[in-house]
Amino acid sequence: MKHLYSALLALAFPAIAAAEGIVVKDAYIPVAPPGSMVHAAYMTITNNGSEPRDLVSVTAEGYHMAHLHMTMEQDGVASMTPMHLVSIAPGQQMTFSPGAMHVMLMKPMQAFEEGSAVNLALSFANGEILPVVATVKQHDYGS
Amino acid sequence: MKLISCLGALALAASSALAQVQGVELEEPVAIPSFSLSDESGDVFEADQLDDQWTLIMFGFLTCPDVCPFTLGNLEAAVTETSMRVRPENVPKVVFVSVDPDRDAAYISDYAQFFHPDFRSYTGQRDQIDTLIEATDSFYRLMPPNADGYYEVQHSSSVSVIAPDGTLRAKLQPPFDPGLTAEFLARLQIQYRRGLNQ
Repeated sequence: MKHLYSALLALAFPAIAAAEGIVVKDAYIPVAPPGSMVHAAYMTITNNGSEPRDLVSVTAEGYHMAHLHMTMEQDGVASMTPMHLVSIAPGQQMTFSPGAMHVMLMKPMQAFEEGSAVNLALSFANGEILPVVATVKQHDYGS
Repeated sequence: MKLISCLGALALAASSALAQVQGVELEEPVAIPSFSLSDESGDVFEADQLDDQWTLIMFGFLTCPDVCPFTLGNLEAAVTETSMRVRPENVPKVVFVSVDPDRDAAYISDYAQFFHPDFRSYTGQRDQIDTLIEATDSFYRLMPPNADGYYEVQHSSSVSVIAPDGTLRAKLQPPFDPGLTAEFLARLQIQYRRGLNQ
């Protein structure tokens, strides 16, 4: 029943995906250059529950592969590392944003235009899978 | 190459702590040696094209999901702000150089133009890329491929600022506050012109 409720919630409010205390907001994919084979998804994940939650993997419809990645910068050199586990403590908010953690989306199987929705699924260590809808949109660079 | 202290820290005292320009102006301009890069359409980018214009050069690779697209988008905002502060002929040209020709050469020309129609992207032979990398005191390294065959590329995230005399004058570290970066670049241009008149 809880799962049905969560699923209905996810359908009713696609911008906010929630299940078992996890709330995902503002999931988006910046519009990428044509021909680009690797995209990124950003979002905020908040653990409103009382137990720590371990995010272990992600899948994305329309892409061959999706990985959790973190950009790091040391001495002016940017690099990426795959994240096999993102542990979110009760009350903690994890922000996936440019220059930090992101979902790396590899080999799109179609062209994703601005405004289209991409179905992602976040997998947690306890077996729970949380669907998240990310919107393709222009990133605001502050101008 | 000697570097003076960050201009950002002292020049922007009026700004909040969060918004500042992370940039260094070189004490001595560095001449960029001859090099030749190109795109798949045959368009070339060579050292003599650095003359008579301001150029911003950044390095990256096309299968970079996060840093490269963000930096280019950020640069577009910074250049747009700069265009409101300098004469049209002094608006910097942005050039993206891919350090990963094996994967990127076939479709390099479309990339930077996506972020602004005047932006350009090139790649080329390893030794030509390395010439420009060394001249701008930049760095890159191709990493071993993972199980899926994908290999990552570590690279400097900084943007090199080249003056109309073809010399490297400053390096900027993203993320860029567009307005403050524009002021930095406009001030750099004024100083450059003063230097010419001496």
